[in-house]
Amino acid sequence: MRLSILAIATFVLISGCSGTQKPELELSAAQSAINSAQRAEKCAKQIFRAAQKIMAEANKLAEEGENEAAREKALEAENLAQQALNASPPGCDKEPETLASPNPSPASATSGTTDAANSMDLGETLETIYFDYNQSHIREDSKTVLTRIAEIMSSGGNENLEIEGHCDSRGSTEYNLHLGERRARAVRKYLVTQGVSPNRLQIISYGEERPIDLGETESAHQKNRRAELKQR
Amino acid sequence: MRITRDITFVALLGSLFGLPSQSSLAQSTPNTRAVLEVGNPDFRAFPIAVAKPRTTKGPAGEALVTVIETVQWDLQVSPVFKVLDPRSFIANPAKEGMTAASIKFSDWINVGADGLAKIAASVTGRRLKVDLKFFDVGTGRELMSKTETGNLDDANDIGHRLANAIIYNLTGTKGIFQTKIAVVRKTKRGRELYTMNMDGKNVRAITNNGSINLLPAWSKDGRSILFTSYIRRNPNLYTIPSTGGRPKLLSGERGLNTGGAMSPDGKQVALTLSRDGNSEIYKMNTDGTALKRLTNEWAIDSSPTWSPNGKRIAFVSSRWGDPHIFVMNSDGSGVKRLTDRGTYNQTPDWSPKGDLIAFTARDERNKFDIFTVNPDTKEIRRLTQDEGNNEEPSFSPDGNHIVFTSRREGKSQVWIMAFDGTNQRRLTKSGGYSTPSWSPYLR
Repeated sequence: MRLSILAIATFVLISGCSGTQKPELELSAAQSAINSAQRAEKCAKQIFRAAQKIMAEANKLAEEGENEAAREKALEAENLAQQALNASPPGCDKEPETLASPNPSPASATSGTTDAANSMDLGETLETIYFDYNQSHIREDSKTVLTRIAEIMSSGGNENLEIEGHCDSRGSTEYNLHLGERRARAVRKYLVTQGVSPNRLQIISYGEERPIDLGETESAHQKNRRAELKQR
Repeated sequence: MRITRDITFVALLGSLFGLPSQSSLAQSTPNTRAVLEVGNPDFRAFPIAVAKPRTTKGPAGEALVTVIETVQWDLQVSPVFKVLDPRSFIANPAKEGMTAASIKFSDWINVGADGLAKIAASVTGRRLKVDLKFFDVGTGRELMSKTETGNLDDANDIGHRLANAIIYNLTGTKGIFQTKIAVVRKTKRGRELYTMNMDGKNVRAITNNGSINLLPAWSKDGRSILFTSYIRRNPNLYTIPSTGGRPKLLSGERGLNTGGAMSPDGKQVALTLSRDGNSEIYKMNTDGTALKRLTNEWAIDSSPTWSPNGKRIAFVSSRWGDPHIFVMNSDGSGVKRLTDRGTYNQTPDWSPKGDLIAFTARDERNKFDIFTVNPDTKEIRRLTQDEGNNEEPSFSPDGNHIVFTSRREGKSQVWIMAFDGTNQRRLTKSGGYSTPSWSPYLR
């Protein structure tokens, strides 16, 4: 009896170490990541489809006994599903509500002063939006700020915003230019889903070329991974 | 005349590599020259002495020191030579002239030299004249003689010309020592383009517009440099004469216009645009016409680099989540992933020899280092390790060397190394450099 337990334990140990077991855990984690990213099917279609495609490849490899390859694919699928979800703010899959016609009556008589008041509010609201490493999804903590900006912008006034995307100093010059633009685009997309006309939102990326903090510490990097919103 | 020269070479190389001179004489010259090819199993570095200057005083002496230092540095970079340390020399420079008759070759044999370069300089007004003689130490024969002239400031360029002449005479291959490196440097106002000789000397500002100028890449004829600039606010792609001048707009699409890479035949440019709402790779004619999109993915696709036959393009894509190196046919078909390892692979540069693609990877300790991948076998080799962050490789036109940036001494400086990671040398003396690009052969 004792011997057989030992034998089983040894077997599990060996198969665990050799990594040839079917990667059940990874496969199910990836599948549930895909399931919970369903709204991304509409909002981040391409990433979501890529995740599905790689998931299918992972399942196929697992069936064929290519367990190590299957495990890697499953991890990639999970990673992509997470990215797809990150790129899909809640409610993005709903039909946009009929846009309220730009604030009529009370303001119209004194539009000049109201615009000024709005601009001031907007100016005060324009906080920097920060991002995770190598990511361009809008973090939860930034959504309140952006929602407030969208409210002010769609409640009258005609200010245009320029959204500048920036990166930290790690990674290549060119890739960071493109990553910075994705960040700026993510901010624009979020504001648009909150009802701001895309025509009022310009984007530009400076990559890693305009850092706020020249340090190489994690906190310096975090300060530099940002989108700045400027009135134009 | 030509035959005599070739026989001299055969005899020289026969004696250098211990081949019986009878059989080497029977061989054809190309075969004998092949022994000086790196990678040949019979290869061994050729021990060479560059004699000390006869004088270091006055304008001629100073120019001569520059020329000699340049020749020594170049030959050390070349994998063909082993340059002997001048401190070991026993010959008296004051007593030796430029002729075989005036040289005591036993003094050079005794320090281990097989070849001896003697260099002399003279100055008339602002004109500099430099003579080179190259001797086979074993036989005491003069193998080559070369005279170069220029202005006093041209000493470094003249040194490179002489090193190229030595390489060409001994190996029959073109030297890389008259090539240049284009690079971006931080300034107080922004980022400007510079060029420097391949040893870091003769730095010249190519732009001086106070804006952000990025990602230089040479045209195939070496006459112009493609780059991205914010001079008109939007990051557009321009070309500028490689000696400086007025930038000309090449691509001004809305959004990013980056990473212009000219095709090997010089007729097309591959580039990355975000005009369609996402970063994708396109190609167009060099006059900006016939724009064609090559990729179509949700992810970032960027940084195209052409294979030397122009049939394939390697690039960076994050379509599987993390950035990796991919390759496709130059019409956009047949996409394949090249790097299976790591989570962050960027800045591919395809060797002009075709056999390797150099790139930057971040390892598991979050350090950036330079690697190569074989585009056919996917075999990966690591070139830098444990020396700070090393990034942004670019191949020399012969594919034997790579220029890159390294922070191993703190600031981001320009370094070169051999294609296998050996012989690493710093070119610059201060920091703030990024994205070096090695020119094609010039002139």
